[in-house]
Amino acid sequence: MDYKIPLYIQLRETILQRIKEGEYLPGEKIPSEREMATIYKINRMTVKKAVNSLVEEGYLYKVKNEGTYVRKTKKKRWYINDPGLERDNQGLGASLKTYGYNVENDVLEKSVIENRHYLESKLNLQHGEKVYALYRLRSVEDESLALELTYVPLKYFEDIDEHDFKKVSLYDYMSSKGHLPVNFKQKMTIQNAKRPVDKIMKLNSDDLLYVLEFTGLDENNNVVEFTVSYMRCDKVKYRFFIKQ
Amino acid sequence: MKVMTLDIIVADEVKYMIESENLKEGDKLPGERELSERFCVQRLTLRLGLQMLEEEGYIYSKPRKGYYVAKPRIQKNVKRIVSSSSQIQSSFKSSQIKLIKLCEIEADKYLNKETNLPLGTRLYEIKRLRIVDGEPVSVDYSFIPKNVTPGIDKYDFEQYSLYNILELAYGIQLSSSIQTIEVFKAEPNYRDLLGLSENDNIVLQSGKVLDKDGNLIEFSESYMKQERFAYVYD
Repeated sequence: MDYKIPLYIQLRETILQRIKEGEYLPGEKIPSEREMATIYKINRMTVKKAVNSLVEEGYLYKVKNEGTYVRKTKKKRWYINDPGLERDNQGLGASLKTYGYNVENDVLEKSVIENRHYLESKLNLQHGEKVYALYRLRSVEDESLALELTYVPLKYFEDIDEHDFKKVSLYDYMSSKGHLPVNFKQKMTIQNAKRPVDKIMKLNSDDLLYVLEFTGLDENNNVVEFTVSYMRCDKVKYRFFIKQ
Repeated sequence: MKVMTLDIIVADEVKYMIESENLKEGDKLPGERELSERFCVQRLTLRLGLQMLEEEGYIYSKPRKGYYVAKPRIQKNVKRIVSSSSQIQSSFKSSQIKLIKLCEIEADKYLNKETNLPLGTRLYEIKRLRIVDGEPVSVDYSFIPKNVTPGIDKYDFEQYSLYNILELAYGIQLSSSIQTIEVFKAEPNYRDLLGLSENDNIVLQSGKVLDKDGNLIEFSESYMKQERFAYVYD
């Protein structure tokens, strides 16, 4: 930012940026005017001016004798980052949690399946090798955000059925077996909700979904995961970082 | 509720068949009878599966003739900052750019919000239409601060990609970017160019592109036909 811009505008932009990036979350209190004046060594009136302009525009609201809060927007939006793009951000669960939300996992179905050419080719298996299927519905604050259909080669995870993935993170489990996916190949398309996703996520056919299909490779380049993930476009914003 | 039903499984197996037998755009699929025998399912189940693939845009049908492999989606790489032209796969016969608008503007409220550049900052606006195999598929906007690339308006954007010009003429090395992909109802300013109606959806990929010192080089917006693109990362 240009240093010649009035201080109150600069502060305003800084606060706004932090709201957008999720550092100040909806419903959360931002630092008090007194605190900001001290931190930035600026006049209290300047802080007031910046905060008031954001209150006027509806980003913030004040509660008497308590402080200033970030307004909850009508439409909640969670950001979904690419799997594995950042080391701490593996998996949808982890990526949403970093923004302060807890992801609920419901296991809808789990089973051993075989003789599915499509899955065998995605998982780089010989014909007849067993695949373990795990279907999870992932919700945040009682809203279903994503349906994840995950397939893993049973040969790497023979005791997988004994674990409860409502409580245990799948990637923690995969890591304990020495087959944590660390590289991903992914294809994302945007599609209308259709079977079986529409019923499970309670959507209409004109609702749109991000459909992410990705394979995960462990550090020895074994394909250890193939997942199709359906996420609601109206609840989630797909974001990715490029660094080259 | 059962997640997987037989018709969805059949749809997956047909996808595998198309991939493994390397069927191309316009190739005809075996008939319904043959397919239902091959996958050991009822004709009705097979039809439901094929219908799903048709909705996804993998195949299309001709009445009383059968099912055919549809045009593949254009794969857009979301891991690297590269020009879209260099990404259009060889599976497409032609890809061209039509320059719609190239002018100097001042940052308005919207651009100020997206780029954090002060109101009134001078920018070049480059608006172009991408046409693949004769079909307009996307409208791409680039906003570049004038002081970053003075005189860029003299280059031929139908001939050279923006990123080529930035690198070769201005020595700019693009380094990082944060981008988002969202979907909206199509708006008038690009609807007609893409031949869409107001009920159609449009996918917007947008973001700031920075050089290695963190300077803003470009703010880009690409409005793409929903059913024509896939965003890949590998």
